[in-house]
Amino acid sequence: MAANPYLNAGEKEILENARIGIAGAGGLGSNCAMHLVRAGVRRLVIVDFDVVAAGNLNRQFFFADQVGRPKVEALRENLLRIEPDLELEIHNIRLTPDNIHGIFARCPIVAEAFDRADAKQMLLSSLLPGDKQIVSVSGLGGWGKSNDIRARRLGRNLVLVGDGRTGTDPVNGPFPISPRVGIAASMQANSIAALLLGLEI
Amino acid sequence: MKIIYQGGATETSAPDLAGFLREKGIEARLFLIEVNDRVLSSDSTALNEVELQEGDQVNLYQIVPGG
Repeated sequence: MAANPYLNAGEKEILENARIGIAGAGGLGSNCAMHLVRAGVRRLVIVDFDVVAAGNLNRQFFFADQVGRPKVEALRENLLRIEPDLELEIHNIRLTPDNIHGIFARCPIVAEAFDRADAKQMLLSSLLPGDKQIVSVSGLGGWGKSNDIRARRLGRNLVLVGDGRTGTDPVNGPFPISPRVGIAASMQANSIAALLLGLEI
Repeated sequence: MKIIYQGGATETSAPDLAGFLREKGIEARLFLIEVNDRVLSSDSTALNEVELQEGDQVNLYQIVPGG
C-alpha cells in the first residue's frame, strides 16, 4: 500500500529509493519524518538520545501513551502506522562530530532537526564541507508571522528554513508551539522532496 | 576594497573573512557565513583561508535554538 497515491512512476522510484537522515526526532524531526513518509519516502535514518516528555506533545509527533519512551522508538512506531513497508534505521544516541559521518554515511540528504543552537552548528560544521545536501532550520519560535518563515538556498549544499531570528527559550519564551514548528518542519520536508525530485525548493 | 555586506556596500581593509569579521566586531559564534556561493559555519577553521576580493558578497545568518 503506497502512502502517496499521487506519485507517477518516476517520482515513486526516486522517493522510495532515497535514504534521508533525520538528525533529531523532536518538533522538527518527528514532523519532517512524518511528512516525508506520507509523501512516499521509505528509508530514513533517525537519531535522537531523548525520551518523549508530556511537554513535547504540544508540537511533536508523539502521543500521550508514548511518554517516557525513547523518541526514536516511538517515532518508528508512529511512522509504521502510516506506511508499514518502511526501512527505518534508528539510533538512540547523541550525535557528535565523531559519529555523525558514520551514522549518515548512506544519506545524501540530512535534515538538521536539533533544538540547541550549538548542536545545529555541530552538524553544519561537520557536514557542510562534504557532499551531502543539508536542510537546516533556524528561527521558528512563537506565534503568527507565518510568512516570515522562508526556505532559501545557501551555497552549493545548504537549504536554510526559518525566520532567522526567533529562537525558542523554554523558560522565558518565545516558546515552541505546534503551528509555527509545523510550518518549519513542513518546509523542511518539502525542501527535501524538491531536492530529490530536482525541483525548485 | 568595497564589498557587499548584508546587502549594503561597505569598505574593508581585511584580506580574509576572519579579518573582516574582526573588523566588524563580530564574535562569530553560532552564525552561518555566506561568501558569494560558499557557506561556512562560524567555527570553521577555513575562515582564515577565504580571501576577500572587490565586490564579494558576504551575508551572515544566525543559528538560533528551536526544533
